[in-house]
Amino acid sequence: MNHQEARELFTSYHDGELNENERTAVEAHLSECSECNTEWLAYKKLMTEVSGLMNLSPPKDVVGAVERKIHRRSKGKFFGRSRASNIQFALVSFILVLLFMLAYLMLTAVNEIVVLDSDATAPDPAAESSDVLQKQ
Amino acid sequence: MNDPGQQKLIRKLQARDKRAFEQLIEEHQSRIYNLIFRIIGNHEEAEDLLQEVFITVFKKIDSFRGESSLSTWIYRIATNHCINRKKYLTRRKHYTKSSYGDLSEKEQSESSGGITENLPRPDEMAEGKQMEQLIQKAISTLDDEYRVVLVLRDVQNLSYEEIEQILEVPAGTVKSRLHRARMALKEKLVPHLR
Ligand SMILES: [Zn+2]
Repeated sequence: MNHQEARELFTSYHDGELNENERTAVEAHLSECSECNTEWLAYKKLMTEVSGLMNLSPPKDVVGAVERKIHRRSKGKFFGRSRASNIQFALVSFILVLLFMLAYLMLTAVNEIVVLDSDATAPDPAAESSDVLQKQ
Repeated sequence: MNDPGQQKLIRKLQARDKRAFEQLIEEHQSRIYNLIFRIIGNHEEAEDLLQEVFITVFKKIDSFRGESSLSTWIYRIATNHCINRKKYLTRRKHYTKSSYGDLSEKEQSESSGGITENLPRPDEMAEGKQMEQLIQKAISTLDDEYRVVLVLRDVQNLSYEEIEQILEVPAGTVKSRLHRARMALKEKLVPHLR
């Protein structure tokens, strides 16, 4: 085995991909050839350094960023307001409308009572309190 | 792939299930981000590409036929995105900065030339972080096809078989590209490996 042949097998040798005969031949060459042995040591050092590269943390809020992009590009078809919050929104709106209606009905009812009251007491010029209510 | 858990996840993804999609992102974001960053060498581009990978997964999940595992399929999408983006950036001559310092246009387009003449001598630098920067810089000067195989194998620790499936190339091609990649990297970094 010459230098070139030995070096061509470095990767397979390193990754355990050689058969018994090839492995023995590479090891025999390395033990007797200082040039190739130096190359092999550099190769191993490189592999140690590369495998020691830092594991980087992903950026923050990938999920949110992806969903916003999909929402925008799908023109709102995907990842809009969720169904749960849709239901909440509908419920709150319904209750608010109901409250407004109730308030309106109560006010009209009070007005009618006042009108009735003031009609009943109209001949009495001294009924100041009903005059005040009527103006309201 | 016959993994029933994966089958279920894929059906949910195909139904555009929000929770399933979020779970998929949570599970894969770290490995895919590291893959992309080591190939592209720039944090901002890597962040944008990471999002694009998951958007493609969302768009194309209906075409996933289960011939490979889901993660192999995602890796394939990611490597294709990286290669396309790199081509685009080189074409646009936009790619002048990396997070590990400036990479000149010349260094970018140089695929086989040594970079060591521009690097500090080993005795001029501290160990650790600077070695990391040197390696990243050297990786970014490799040709696309070499760089991708090297990152998949030596950074992501994937098997030869997985890499064959991701890149859709024969075993011999993976082995020879990996060997060329490592030998080229060794030549670029040789003064720092003694
Ligand atoms: Zn030799």
